[in-house]
Amino acid sequence: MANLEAKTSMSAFQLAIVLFVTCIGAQIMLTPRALIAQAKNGSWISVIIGGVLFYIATYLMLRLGKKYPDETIVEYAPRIFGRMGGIFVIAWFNLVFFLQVVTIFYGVGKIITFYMFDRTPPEVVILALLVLCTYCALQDWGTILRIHQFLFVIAYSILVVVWLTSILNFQPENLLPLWPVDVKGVVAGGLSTWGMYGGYECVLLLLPLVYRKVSLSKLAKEVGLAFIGVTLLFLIIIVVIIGVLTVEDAKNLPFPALIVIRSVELPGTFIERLENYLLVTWIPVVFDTLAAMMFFMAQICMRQWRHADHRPALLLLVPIIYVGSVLIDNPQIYEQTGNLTMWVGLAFSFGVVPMALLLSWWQKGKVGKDCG
Amino acid sequence: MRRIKCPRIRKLSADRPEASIQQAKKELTKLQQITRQSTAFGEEIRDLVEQLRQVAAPSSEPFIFTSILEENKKLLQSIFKDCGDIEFRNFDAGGKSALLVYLEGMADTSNLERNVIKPLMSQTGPDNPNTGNLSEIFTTMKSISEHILGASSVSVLTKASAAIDAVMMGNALLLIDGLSEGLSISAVKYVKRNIGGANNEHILRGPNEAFNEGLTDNIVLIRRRSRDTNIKVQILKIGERTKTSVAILYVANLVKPGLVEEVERRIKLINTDKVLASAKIEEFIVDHPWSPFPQVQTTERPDKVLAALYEGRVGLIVDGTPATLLVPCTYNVLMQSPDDYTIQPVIASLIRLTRNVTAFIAIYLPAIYVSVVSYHPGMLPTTMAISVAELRARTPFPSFLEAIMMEILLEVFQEAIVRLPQRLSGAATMLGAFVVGTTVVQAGLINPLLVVVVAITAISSYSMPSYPFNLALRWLRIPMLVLASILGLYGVIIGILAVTTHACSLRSFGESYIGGLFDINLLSDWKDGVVRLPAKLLKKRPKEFGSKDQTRGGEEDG
Repeated sequence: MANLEAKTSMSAFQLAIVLFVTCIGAQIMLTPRALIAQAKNGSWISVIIGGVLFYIATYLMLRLGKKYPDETIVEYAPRIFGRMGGIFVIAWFNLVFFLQVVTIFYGVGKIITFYMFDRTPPEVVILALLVLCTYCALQDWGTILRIHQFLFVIAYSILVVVWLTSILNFQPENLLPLWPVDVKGVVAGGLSTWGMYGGYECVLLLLPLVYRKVSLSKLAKEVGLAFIGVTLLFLIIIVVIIGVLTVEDAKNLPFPALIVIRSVELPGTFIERLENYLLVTWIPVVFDTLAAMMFFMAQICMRQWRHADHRPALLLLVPIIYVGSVLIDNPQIYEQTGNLTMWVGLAFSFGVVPMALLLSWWQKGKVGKDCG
Repeated sequence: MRRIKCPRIRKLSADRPEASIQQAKKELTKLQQITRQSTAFGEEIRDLVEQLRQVAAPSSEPFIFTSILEENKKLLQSIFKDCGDIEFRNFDAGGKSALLVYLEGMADTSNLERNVIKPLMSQTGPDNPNTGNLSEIFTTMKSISEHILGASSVSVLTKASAAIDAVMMGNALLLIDGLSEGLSISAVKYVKRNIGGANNEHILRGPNEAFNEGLTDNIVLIRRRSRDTNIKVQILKIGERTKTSVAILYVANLVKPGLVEEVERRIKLINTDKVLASAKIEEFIVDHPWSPFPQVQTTERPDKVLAALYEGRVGLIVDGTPATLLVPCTYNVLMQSPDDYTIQPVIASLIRLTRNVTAFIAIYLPAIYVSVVSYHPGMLPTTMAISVAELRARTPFPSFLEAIMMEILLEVFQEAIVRLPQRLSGAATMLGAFVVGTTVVQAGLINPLLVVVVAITAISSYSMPSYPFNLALRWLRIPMLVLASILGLYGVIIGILAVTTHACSLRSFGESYIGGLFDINLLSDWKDGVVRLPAKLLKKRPKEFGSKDQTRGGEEDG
C-alpha cells in the first residue's frame, strides 16, 4: 500500500521518551534499599553521579551510532570487532537486556505477591505479566512507541502524584547530614545506580530510526533532557524515602518505597492503603520497560539471524525468560544476579562501547590513510 | 503529290480472337454467374454471421445484440423469464419496430411516455422539418437520442450485461429494429423513504437531516451543503448478484495521498454475492475484523460526513442503507459529537473529558468493584468496607457471579428493549427497572451496591456518541470481570494494559486507533480532540489524517 502503513522513523523527543520509560522500570521500587545501604545520606549525590555517568555512556553510544547512521550495533559490531568478536559483543548486548528482564520479573513477582496476594505463588504473577509483555512485544515498533507515549503521559503522571502524597510524612531533618562522610560509598553508590538507569543501551538499536532526521547535537540535547527527568524522579524517590523513614530504617526494609507510601494517611478522603494505588500505577511502568526490553532482545536475535520478523525469536525467548525469572528463587540469588547484571552492564557501557568507538575511529583513519 | 496508301481495315477479332463478341458474351455470362454466386454467398455469410453473433457472446456477456429486434426481444425475454414486473412495450418509431423494456414500479412511466414513446411515435413521414431526414437519424441510437428523444440522461449500450443492469436499476431500455445497440434512458422513480431526522444520532442544536436509503438522495444531501467542486464521487458496483452501488466521496485537494486508492482497492477486493448494508462492507475493508472496536465510523448525518471529508477523510455511501461509513476512524473521532460544535467550547471540552472518563468506567468499573470487594477490601474506607461486608453477607453468591448475573440481566433487558415494538419497550423497561432495581435485591440475590455499579456502568456506556463503540465497551466488561475474579486489581491492570496495547496496535487505513491520542508529534490535534477550542483557534486540520492542506482557511467545518 502507498504510504499509509510505513512509520519507521521517530523524532528525537520520542527517543527521549523511550529512553525515559525504559530506564524507569521496576527499579524505582526494587533498588533504593541497596543504594541507601551503600551510600547512606549521600544517596542523593549517588543518584546525580549515576545520572551524569550514564549520560556520558549514552553519549558515547550516540557517537558510535552516528558513525553508522543506517545500522544498529548488530550490523556494525562484526565489522569493528571481527566476525567472532562481533558475535560475542552482540551476545553480551543481549545478555544485558536478558539479565535485566529476569531480575525485573522476579522483583515484580515478589512485590505483587508480598503486598497484594500473599497466598498466590509469584510464578502466577510473573506468568500473567509475561503473557501481557509478550503480546505487546509481538507488535511492531510503531505500536510499542505509541504505548510508551500513552503510558508516559498517563501512568507516570499518576505515579508521581501518588508518590508525592508521601511528602505529608516527610521529615527534613532525616536527610541530615546532607554532605556525606563516606565518599567512597557515595561513589560506589553512583556506580550501583546502574540498576536504576539501566536500559539506555536501547539507543544502539533505535538510532537508525532517528539519525535520518536529526543531528547528533540535537539528539544529545534531547537525551540529556530524558536523563534530567529520570534523575529528578529518582532523586524525589530517594530523598522522600530517607526523609520519611531515615537511612537506618530504609536500609533494613526490603521495599522501603512501599512502606513510605503505606504510612500515608489521608483523613476525610475515600482513599486508604495507598501502597495498592502506587502498585497499580507502577505495574504499567514495569510493563512498558519489560515489553520494550523483550522487543529489543527479539530484534537483536532477528538481526543476528537475518530474519525479517522478530516474532519467532521473541516466542523462542519467552520460555527462557520465564525459566530465568523463576530460577531466581531467593533474595540472595536475586542480589547476586543484580550484581552480575550491574557489572555486565557497566562493562558493556564503559568497556565495549568506548572500545568500539576507538576501533571505528582507527579503522576509518586507516582506510583514509590507505586511500590516499 | 504523294498518295497515301490506306491499309485495309479488318476486324479486331481477326487478329485477336479473345476479343470476339462471342468470347465477350461468354465472359459476361461468367461474370453474371459469379455476381449471382457472390450475392448468394453474401447472404449465406450474413446468415452465418447472425447465427455466430448469437453464439459467440464473450463469457462475461449473456448474449450480444443483433440488428433484428424480434431476436433481441426473445433474448431479453429469456433473461427476464418469470420476472412478471418487467414490461416489454412494442411500438412503431419512424416506420421501424421499437421496443421499450423497463421494470414496473422502478421506472417513471409518465416520463417515458412523454419523452420517449410520444416523440418516437410521432416520427411518421420520411422527412420531418424539425428533425431532418428520418432514414439518416434512425441509423444510430446516438442520433436518435440527439434528435428525437426528450430524456435528460441517456447512454448508448452495446453490451447486453450493461443493458440488463440498466433495466434492473430502474432505467428504460430502448431497442429499435435494424440497430444492434440499445439506449438506456434514465427514468428511475421508485417508492422510498423521505429525508427525515436522524434516528440514532440526535443532537440538540444544528441540522437534523439524515440520510435515507437512496444513494442519489444521500449524495445530494452532501452536495447541497457544499458547492465545492473538489468533492469527488466515485461509484463502484459491489456484490456478484446484488450489484450494489457504493459511492466513494472525498475532497480531492485534501485527502491524504494514497488513501482513496487504498479504499478503492479494498472495495474492489470484496468478493460476495450480496451487499445489503454498509456493515458488510465495513467487515471486508477493516484491518482487524476480529477486534471488538469499530474501525470504521458510521453515521447517518450528512453534516458529519461533510465535516469528515474536510478533515481529509473518505466517505462511503452504500445504496440501500442510511448508515454511511467514514475512514480512517480513530478513538478520537468516535468520542466526538456534532453537539460539541453547537455549545460553548469550555462546556464542550468538559463533556469530551467526561466522555473519556465514562468510557473507562463503562469497561472497568464492575471489574474494579469485584477486585476490591473480593481481594482488596482494605482499600475501602473502614466504614464502607464494613457496610459492604454486611450487604454481601446477605447474598449467597460470590461477587464475581453476582456481577456476571447482573451483566446478563442487563444485556437481556437491553436486547429486549431494542427488539420489541416501541409500545412494548416501555413496559419492558419498567419490568427491568422493577426486577433489577427492587425484586432481585429484595430477594437477596444481588448486592444493592452492585446494582448501583452496574447501573452506572450501563449509563456510562450509553453516553458514547458511537453505538458500535458502546457495544465494544459492553463486550469488554466480561473478560475484565474474569481477570478481576482471578487476579484482583493486578488482573484489572493487566486487562487495562492488554486493551490499551490492542487499541494501540489497531490501525484504520494506516492511522493508529488510539495511539494518536498521546502521540507527542500530534499533540496539536488535542485542540479539537480531547478538548474543543473556540472555532477561530481551529485554524489547522487534524494532523492525524494527513490531509494535504493543513490550513482550514477560516472555515468552520467542525
